Amino acid sequence: MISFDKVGFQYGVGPEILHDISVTIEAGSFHFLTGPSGAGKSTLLSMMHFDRRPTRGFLSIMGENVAMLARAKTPLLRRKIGIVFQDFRLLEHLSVFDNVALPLRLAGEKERILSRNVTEILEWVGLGKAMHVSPRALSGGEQQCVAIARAVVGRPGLLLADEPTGSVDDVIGQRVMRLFEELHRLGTAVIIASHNENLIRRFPHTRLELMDGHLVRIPVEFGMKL
Amino acid sequence: MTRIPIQNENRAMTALSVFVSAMMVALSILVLAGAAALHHLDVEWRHALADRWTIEMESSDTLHPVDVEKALSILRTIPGVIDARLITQDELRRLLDPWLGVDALAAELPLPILIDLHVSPTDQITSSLFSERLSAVLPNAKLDDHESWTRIPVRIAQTGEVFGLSLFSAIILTALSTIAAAARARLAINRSEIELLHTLGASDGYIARQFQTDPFRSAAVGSLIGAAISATIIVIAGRVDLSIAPMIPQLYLTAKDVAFLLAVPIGATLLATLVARMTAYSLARRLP
Repeated sequence: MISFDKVGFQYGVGPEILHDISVTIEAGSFHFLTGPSGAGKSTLLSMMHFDRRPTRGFLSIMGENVAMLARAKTPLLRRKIGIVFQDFRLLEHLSVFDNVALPLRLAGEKERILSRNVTEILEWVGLGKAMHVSPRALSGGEQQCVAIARAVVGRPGLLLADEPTGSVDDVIGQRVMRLFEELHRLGTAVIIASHNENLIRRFPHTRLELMDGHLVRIPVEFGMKL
Repeated sequence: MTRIPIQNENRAMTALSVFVSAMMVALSILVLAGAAALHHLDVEWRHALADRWTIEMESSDTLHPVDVEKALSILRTIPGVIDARLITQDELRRLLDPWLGVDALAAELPLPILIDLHVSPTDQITSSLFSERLSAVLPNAKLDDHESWTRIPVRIAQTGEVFGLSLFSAIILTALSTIAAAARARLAINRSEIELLHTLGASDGYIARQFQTDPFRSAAVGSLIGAAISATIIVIAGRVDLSIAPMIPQLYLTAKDVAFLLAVPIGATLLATLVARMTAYSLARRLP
């Protein structure tokens, strides 16, 4: 699904912050991306979401060579990737339903099908009764569930989450993680950037650790080759 | 694709956009209407005397009628001259009555001999040709092609036209800059929404389309208001009676002018939409 081969990255003319990243992420796999703050986790995730291009090396996502990718094709590929942010990024002037419906509307889905899918996914994250309220009326944990629902409503093949439990308490964090595991069981490849060691220990999955700009391997379990 | 209400509603900005559009359209229509009316004036002034020239000679007391007849015959043979006619003394006095009065003193004033020439405006007739032909019979005859009389008012009208068109260009440039600035402000206010849509897979074109809808509505409403304001002013101005100043002809607009002016609000709306879209598109293109 994603293949990094000796990828390096630097901002402008600054020093290189990622060096010789080589890793393959298989479809349906589950990975934690760990490392101290500022190690480059978010940068690596943004490269997987076409927001940044490698300054050297080869990166292929869903069979597309990122360096050669036409701008017009990027939105179509982005729609195949779900993304969850630490700060949720919900549109407060839209209802919970409309927030979750955003990816489907962008994909031009028919309203009838869209309505059924959004309702279904909101029931799944436990917010079936809150679909017509503003996100402002929800707790932080509930808002993160809305963000997850929005990320997965389009049935993406890949889900990227950047510190998804960073703004919620431990109980909600575990609930969020269980949702990710459920998605993983349904066949979605999941990559979660986190530095929450407690959480990572409770959910044993392959771990990729960024140290000094290098991707350090933690025991290979399945779906990953270094 | 369904439109997503990504923008935070900003009533003050919408009201300002409507007001600016209304004023720009009203000013554009008034300026263009003025330029069109001046253009007609310019054309009329030039055409009204283009086929009428005058030969002026010394007082009739010192001129023999035979020479005048000879001159008329010669003039009629010049290519491009359709007719040559002597203006009688009675006609001349009638023309001068408003200025000189009808008293005895005025009646005694020596009047020049005037020959009215009806010429073809398409033929290139030169004053030297007249001088050549008339020199033997009427050596002191002067040719007046009326250009000296029409030059100044025509130049004033033409300057007015150019000024009107320049003003129209300035209004259009100001309007476009204002629309682009408003679009940029709208985009800045909604930057996080745009970035989110971009992340979720919205194309540059899609984002641009979202940001053209509101400018389109504001421009359409503003243009209608502006057109109504300018139409009212034009109708009122058209009813002003200029007959008290006989040298100033009545200003008017043709059906073609009205059709062109009606296109201004439509064009303004389309232009505003296009500028807003292009601004949003160029900013969306800067996202990764």
